[in-house]
Amino acid sequence: MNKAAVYIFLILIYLAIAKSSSHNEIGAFYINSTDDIDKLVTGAPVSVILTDIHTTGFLIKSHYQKWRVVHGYRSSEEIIVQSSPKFTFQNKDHVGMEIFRRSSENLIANSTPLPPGSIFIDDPAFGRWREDNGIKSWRFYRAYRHLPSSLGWGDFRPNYDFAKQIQIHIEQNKPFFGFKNEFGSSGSFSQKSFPDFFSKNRQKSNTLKKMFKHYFHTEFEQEI
Amino acid sequence: MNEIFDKLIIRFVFSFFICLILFLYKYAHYLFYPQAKKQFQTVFTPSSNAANSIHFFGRLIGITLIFSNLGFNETSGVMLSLVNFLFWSLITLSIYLCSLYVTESIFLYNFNFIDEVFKKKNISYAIITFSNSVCVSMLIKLVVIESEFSVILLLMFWLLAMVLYGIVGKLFRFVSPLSLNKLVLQKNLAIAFSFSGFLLGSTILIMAAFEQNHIDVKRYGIQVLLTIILSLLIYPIFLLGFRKVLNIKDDLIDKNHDKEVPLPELGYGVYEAAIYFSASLLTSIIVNHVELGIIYPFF
Repeated sequence: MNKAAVYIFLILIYLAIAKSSSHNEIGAFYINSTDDIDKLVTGAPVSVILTDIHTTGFLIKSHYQKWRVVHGYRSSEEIIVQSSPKFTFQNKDHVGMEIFRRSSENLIANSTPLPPGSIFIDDPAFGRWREDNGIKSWRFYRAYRHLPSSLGWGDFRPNYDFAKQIQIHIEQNKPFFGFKNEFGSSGSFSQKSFPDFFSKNRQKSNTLKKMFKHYFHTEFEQEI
Repeated sequence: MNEIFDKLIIRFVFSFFICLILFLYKYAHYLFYPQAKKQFQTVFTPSSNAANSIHFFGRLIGITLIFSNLGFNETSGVMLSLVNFLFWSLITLSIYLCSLYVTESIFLYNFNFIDEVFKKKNISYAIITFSNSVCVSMLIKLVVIESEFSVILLLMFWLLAMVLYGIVGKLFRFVSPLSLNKLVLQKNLAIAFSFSGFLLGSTILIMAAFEQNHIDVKRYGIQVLLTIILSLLIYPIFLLGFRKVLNIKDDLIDKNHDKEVPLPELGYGVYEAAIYFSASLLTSIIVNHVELGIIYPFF
């Protein structure tokens, strides 16, 4: 009984010291819900884009998210946060999408998953609609010409219908993945713009077959 | 030819220099063990007293283990490299002797060196001092490497290593049913083997704990401490595992009967030494050689 008590005491000491000295435990802000994003991300207008999701651990899993926080009047930044399993599960299909935004008007925050940079579309402070061949597309002013690359737009430019759909989805509080589901974890556009999450290196590439092949190669096929 | 001959002479000089330092050690030994003065003043005959031989050559092996870590750097000239070697050898010898004095005072506080070695010719005592010398020298050798030849770091790491070694050595009574003081007094060989195995195992664990990345001293110290605690958590699993898997019945502990506990035989000491040593080696694998790359990859 005494030995068991000492053993449990040692486990507790180990966990306490390990926790106090671990960088992961200290550094990453814990996100339980979108309310926590509101506390963590300051300023307006701001767009929080989920760029990567990562799960570590063997039996007890820890979930991490990487965000690109694009500010209207400041340079963008990248934040890594630890997230609750529930919040991670909620956002598993939203990689490459804007999961949080705060408007400069009345500082209203919204967390409906939308295509990146939705907060800036149709905001006259940042750009205007330009009509080409009867189609209105959104163009940023010269002062904000860096925003398309920060938002991962590439050559994508939203049109007027796209902006209307964004407003409808905000009102209905439903995620909007684009007209052809171009955005999100299975969206072709997000895969191109945020390749980290989708890169082959992130997949488990080691298989038993490969391992035995490697053994065979090192033993018999190595050049002298 | 001249060059080759000159290089050979330099190596001879260095060899004689190391012998000279051993001579210095002989006199430094008096500081800590004034009773042993007689031992060095007369001619040493290895066959006359086995206990003395074991004890004495344990010290020698310890010194050579420490010296095996040092080297001569010829880039700044023969004299400077000799002075550098002398400086580091004196420091390491001093802390080696100091460590031996402290650790023997902790583990064998009930015994007097002269009584046990010269009067009683206690082989059990001698084997324990032999293994203690080897373990302490292994630790000092590691500490010198980890300190990267910085005296301040060396002193800090040495203190940490000695504190850990002292504490871990004291845990023997919680791990083994054998009574160190009682059995050494009875010249029992089982306790000598058992405790030696335990000390060697503990040394391996402490050495594994010191194998950390050098970021800053504070973080390094915490990591060493954490690894030791982790070792203390893993070690009993292997001890229990050996006993269960190999179906070993501890014939010394008879829980069902109130018979007097028999004196342990040599086989029992060898069994304990083997499982302590093996458990420590396997623990060091779990503590230091588990790559968590797939489970905990970089983000």
